Amino acid sequence: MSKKLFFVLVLVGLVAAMVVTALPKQVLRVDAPPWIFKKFPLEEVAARFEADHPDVTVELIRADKWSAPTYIAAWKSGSTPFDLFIGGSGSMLAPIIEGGWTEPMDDMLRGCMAPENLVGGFLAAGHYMKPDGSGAYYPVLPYMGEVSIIGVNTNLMKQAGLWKDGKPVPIPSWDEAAFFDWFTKLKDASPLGAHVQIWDREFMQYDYCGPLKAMTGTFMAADGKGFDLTSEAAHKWLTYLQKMHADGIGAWTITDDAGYSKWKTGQAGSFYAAQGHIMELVSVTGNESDIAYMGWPGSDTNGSIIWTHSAWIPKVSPVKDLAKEFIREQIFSRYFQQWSFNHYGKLPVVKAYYGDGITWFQSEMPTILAIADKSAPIPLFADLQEYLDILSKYLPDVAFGRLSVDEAIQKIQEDTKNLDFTDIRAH
Amino acid sequence: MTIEKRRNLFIFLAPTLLFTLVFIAFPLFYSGYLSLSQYHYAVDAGPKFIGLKGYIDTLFHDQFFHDALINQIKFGIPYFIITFLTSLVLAILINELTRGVHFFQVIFYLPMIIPLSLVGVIFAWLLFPDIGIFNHFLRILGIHQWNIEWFGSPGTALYGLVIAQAWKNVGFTLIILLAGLQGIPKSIREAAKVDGAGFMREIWSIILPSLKPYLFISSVWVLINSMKVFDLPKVVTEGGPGTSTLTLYLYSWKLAFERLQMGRASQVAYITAAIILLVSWGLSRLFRHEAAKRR
Repeated sequence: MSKKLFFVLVLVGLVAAMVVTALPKQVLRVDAPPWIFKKFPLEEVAARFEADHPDVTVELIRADKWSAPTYIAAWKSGSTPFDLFIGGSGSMLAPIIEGGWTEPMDDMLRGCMAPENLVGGFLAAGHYMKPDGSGAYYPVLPYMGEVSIIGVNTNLMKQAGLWKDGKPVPIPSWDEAAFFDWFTKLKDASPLGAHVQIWDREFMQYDYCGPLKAMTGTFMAADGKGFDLTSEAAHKWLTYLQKMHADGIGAWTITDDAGYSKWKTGQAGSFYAAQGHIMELVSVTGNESDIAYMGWPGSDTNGSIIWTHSAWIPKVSPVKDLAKEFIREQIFSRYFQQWSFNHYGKLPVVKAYYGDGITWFQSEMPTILAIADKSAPIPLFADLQEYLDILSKYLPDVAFGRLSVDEAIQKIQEDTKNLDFTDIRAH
Repeated sequence: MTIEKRRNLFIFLAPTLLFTLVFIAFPLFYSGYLSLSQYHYAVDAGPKFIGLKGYIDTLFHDQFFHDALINQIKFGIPYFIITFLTSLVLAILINELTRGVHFFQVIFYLPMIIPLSLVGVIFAWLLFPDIGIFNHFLRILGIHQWNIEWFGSPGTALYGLVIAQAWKNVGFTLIILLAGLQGIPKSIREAAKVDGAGFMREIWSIILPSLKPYLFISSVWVLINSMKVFDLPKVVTEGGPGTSTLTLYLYSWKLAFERLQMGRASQVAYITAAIILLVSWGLSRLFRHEAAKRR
């Protein structure tokens, strides 16, 4: 090759390289609350995606406090501050789903993300009725889940004589004598109470509905208008809650912090909460064998309550397909989902990720998965926020014994009779 | 005024006028329009005018508004009394000191520089049921029946917030009243002493009447402060347990940013503003009447 030709080729190569690097890359703006950055390896998977897609820049944005009006204001003008949002529970997302502001994700549910490969209860949390009422669809994709489950302090359980063959002795049944006999044994070994429940506005619904679902298979009223408050099972559970508190078995708290603190003292026998929060005891004791999981009687067949956080794409995003690729390749990757469980106890959505790769609570995973798979999310009624405000006025008072069961039921029915219970979730 | 002077005047006023228009006038009038409308921000294309129906529904049929209004009164009265009386007593005592006045002024003013939300977090930890220092001392003293979740009980949560807010704000009213006390001529007090007046008589007949303008300013500030309470219940209790610490501003916020009901949120905000104006006007009439009597 002549020198001239060689230099021409080098020059052409240099110019081509300059042109390629100067070409505008596609930008994918991924927004997430700060806690997602902490509890998921978002920065790492963003770098991996960029490495796999050299023509793409992933811009990570730490969201300020969730503000649906701010986002909707932008979308109404045709722009969006982000292309993909990682996070958002059902009640947070309800307004934007109702307004039809998100991109349908039904086409994502194939291959390893096919519905049969995902935890049933978690996937159900992403299924909604279309805003125009013409059917059901997935406007968001749950990518992590939490299940309301009982965590027990294994040391206290052993002291109470409720430990056998390396497992907790389950609560035998919903029969009053058997139920309270079990808890009384645990109370005698637990200085701060046999059973902790948080009765704030959010957890109140799980505390009430989870055991009902385990007991009967449903927590809904027969007419679909709100939670079941009138059946024999509902009356029984509310009565039990009062008796637990009166007998010193139930250590109810009103705030998250008070509940978590009580559990993390290691002096409470059991805790009904999200599995991830129950695991926080390990941060104090350093020993995962201090915790075991179990469900309410019947939860192995009827499940419990779950809630999820989802990935979703604003409809006005100019890079929707790119966002979907990111979700498929990274958010639903084994690494991303297992990392969060291995560090913070957030449950994967993909069933196959519950085995190899999990580094702690391996022996508890079958119990957790079995309950989560049969669980259901809380409905998203049109007037859910108002409904929860009303329930939070009366249900904690029942649990704490400040109001009788019958009076509370009557007041709730009176105050909620004009609410709109249209459920935007698909069933 | 010449044309040039008018032009210069306008140029210098323009930035302030623009700011006022954009950030005060427009939000004021637009929210006023929203208060006469029904508007779900996520679902409705725009506000739908309904006139005063929204105000009627809020005033007479909204149980959460009623709860918030009652809570406002239950918060305001003890908060007013505690803040006012504490700052007045402290100001009088500090004023009697011959040394260390500035030191105590600084000490009592220090809580003012702490953000109210942080004050809430501090008091939440102080009053924690199992590990809070307050309950710890109660247990040591054997008063176990008071070992409760202070912010978790509907009967005590609101008053916990009263104590927290009063602790923070006593310093401000104290400074105002102290300034007033230090403006009272010493000769008047000395003359009273010579005439045989005791300390309490001095307070009643000389100090309090001389402090009237400062008492008015302090009382209006404390009152408006009590109506504006938002940070504390938002951070500490989120309006709970139940609705026991739901205040008017917090309810307005919840309507706007949780339920996205912009019309209803504006109604509550305007009703709250009307209450503040009404009570402030009442106070100003009271103090003007008293001042007129003295003349």
